[in-house]
Amino acid sequence: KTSPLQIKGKVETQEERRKRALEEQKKRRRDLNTHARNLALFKPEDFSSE
Amino acid sequence: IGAIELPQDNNQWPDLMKILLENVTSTDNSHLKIATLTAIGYICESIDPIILAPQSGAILTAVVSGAKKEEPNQDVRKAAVDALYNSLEFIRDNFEREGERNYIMQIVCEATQSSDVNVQVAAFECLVRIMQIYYDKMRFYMEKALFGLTVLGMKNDDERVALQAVEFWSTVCDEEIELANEALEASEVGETPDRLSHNFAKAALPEILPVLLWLLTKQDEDADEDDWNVSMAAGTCLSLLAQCVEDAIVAPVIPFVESHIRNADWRYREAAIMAFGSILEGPDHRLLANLVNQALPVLIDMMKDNSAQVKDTTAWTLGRVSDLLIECIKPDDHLQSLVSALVLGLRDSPRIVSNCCWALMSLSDQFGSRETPSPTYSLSPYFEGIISALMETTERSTNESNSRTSAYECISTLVQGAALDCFPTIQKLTVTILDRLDVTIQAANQIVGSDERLAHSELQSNLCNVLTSIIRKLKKEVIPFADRIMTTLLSLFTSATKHSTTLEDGFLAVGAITTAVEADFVRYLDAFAPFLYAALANHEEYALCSIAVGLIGDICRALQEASLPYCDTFMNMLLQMLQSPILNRNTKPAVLSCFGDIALAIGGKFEVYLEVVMMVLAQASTMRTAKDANYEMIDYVMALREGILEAYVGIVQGLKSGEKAELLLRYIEQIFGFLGMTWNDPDRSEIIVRSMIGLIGDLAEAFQNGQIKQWFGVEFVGAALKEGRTNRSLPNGTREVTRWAKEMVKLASQ
Repeated sequence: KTSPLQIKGKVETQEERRKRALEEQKKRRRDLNTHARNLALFKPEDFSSE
Repeated sequence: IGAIELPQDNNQWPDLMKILLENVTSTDNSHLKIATLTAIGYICESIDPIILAPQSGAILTAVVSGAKKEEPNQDVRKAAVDALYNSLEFIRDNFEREGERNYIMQIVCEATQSSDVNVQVAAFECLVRIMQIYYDKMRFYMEKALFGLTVLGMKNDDERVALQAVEFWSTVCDEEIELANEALEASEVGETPDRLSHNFAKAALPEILPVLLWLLTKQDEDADEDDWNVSMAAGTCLSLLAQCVEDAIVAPVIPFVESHIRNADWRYREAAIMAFGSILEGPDHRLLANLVNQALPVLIDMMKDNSAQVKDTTAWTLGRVSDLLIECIKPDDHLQSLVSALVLGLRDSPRIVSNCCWALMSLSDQFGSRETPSPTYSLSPYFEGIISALMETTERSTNESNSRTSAYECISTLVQGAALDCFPTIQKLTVTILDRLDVTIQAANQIVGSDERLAHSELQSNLCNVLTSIIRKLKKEVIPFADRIMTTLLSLFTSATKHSTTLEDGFLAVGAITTAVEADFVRYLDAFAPFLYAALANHEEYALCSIAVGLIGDICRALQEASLPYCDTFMNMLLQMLQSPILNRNTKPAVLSCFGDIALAIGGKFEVYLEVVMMVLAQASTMRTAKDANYEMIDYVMALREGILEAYVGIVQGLKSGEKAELLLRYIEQIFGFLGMTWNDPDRSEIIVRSMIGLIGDLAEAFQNGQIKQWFGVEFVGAALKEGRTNRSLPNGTREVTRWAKEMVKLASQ
């Protein structure tokens, strides 16, 4: 147990940094997949035919 | 030894308990009794109750007889109460029976009144544990005895007794906060909760609150941050009580705050601020807003108090206000004086520095935006001043109370939340951080001793962490600095040891650079590749390996097809990782996802790796959870499946873009087999459902001419798409991806 003042302190640990980096990589991967899917859904020919 | 021997088939020590029980009941040798009771307690704590079920009554009788008030030797009594503490799970069946429970509770309550303080402490420890395990059965005993005993216990002159009595009420609050959460969750889905709160804390509030407030004034002047004393326990308990009873705590605490905040004695001033800070979480914000508004100028002023303890607690309370009640901080009215007070605190003692940093981080989190930066924000006028003060703080030679790390962390957080008009300051900061990193690299050879090495490594990690935040924030605007950043990072990797966490943080900075400079990263890759390969081969350091695997993904996304010359090595190293007996298994899902990243980057050129990767994915798919699997194993299998899904998505999309989708036809049964198995697993996560729907859509899009249309008629495909459309608890983006997948499946099924 430590002082209640210390419990509330906020320093990002190494493990949290790793997790955050991993989450950001996942997000970039997902964004890229979504981008590819959006391209498929709205093919250039769809626009030209309108 | 007993804990090992007794659970063996054919109990390897059948007469052990008989001997132990005889020792307790038939000897006058108190040393033997104490040792025996201790052994019984350890055994009961260590083994499955079913193993000793036939003897449980006799064991309990022996333990309880030693704990009775009739036991003349208080050392024996203390050993018996300790044994009872260790047996509390073991005697669950006895505790279910009212008569036996009453008797046990009577013995423990009587022990709290022993003349021996050690017995009292042990008895209160027992009550804390009983409240944790058997809360549901405590109503009767609370009314009859526990309530009064623990309130008296908190006032006990002996701090060890008072600490346990306070802990008892912290435990009550913990339980009731948990029960309130369970009740809320149950009501959200229209169900009744399994267990009900008895609201002990609310009922006891008028009695326990004055005692807790009084205990707050019993600070230890020289307390270290690692110490634990009765005023700290009371602060923690008060904070839990506020979360538990919510609005009811406000009215009785405020008079204490008002009457003591200007007290001449620092203990009362500190206690008043601690009380105020502790009740900021729990009560309705509307109830607190006015109070916080009135208190803010007083608190800001108290950052100049002559007592370090008062300033420390004030900084913490300002952090709590910034974190929990940001709407009370009006930029025009409070921000200038608040920021000035916190910046002043950065020049104070290390503990105050850490709390001021936390307060500034909360302000940044609340006023700033980590996503698209706005042109300006409330902290813009102060940004440069805060950064400059923090940089000054980091120049101190020690990291006492984590103050230097907190200051760097605070700089990182401020950068992450900054607005566009802060970019010039961030650009200046970039150069200073790189200069400091260069100095640490030059100093690497002069380090002597492990403590100094650890401090050096921590400093480099802090600097890399700030650098990563800068790169992520500046995005394209970091490009003019990219050469300098990579030069410094490459020197850092040359000087770092194989095991240092600096490498991890440096790699994270490189990952950020790849995203910022994109295809231009190719200029650095030849120089960086040897460090990346060394990390990928360093299987003992699994955290570093994981980050290195992620970096392959970053590089492939940045370089696209230009990553091709490196892919043979990447693939070989990734496959070696999967076969490695040393590598921590938690890295393996990321390796599978990485195959998808490579496929997506090089498109049709992935053909050469297809067969081996599909075989690996098929092997990984065979991993299942046993019926009695623990949570860790379930999580691992789910992470593995997520990785497999990400790999398939990348491969399908990559081959489709390279017009090589037909290569997948021989693997369609494998993929749908995996999807069906995953769908039918009750442990499947919501992320998995979203990924599955995405993959179904990708497959449909890749085979629009009906080549695999029979697979889209399989039952689980329709069920998954329905779930994606109707289940609102699924993660962000699920509805969009489902809409898209449905469209694709419709086209591919014609």
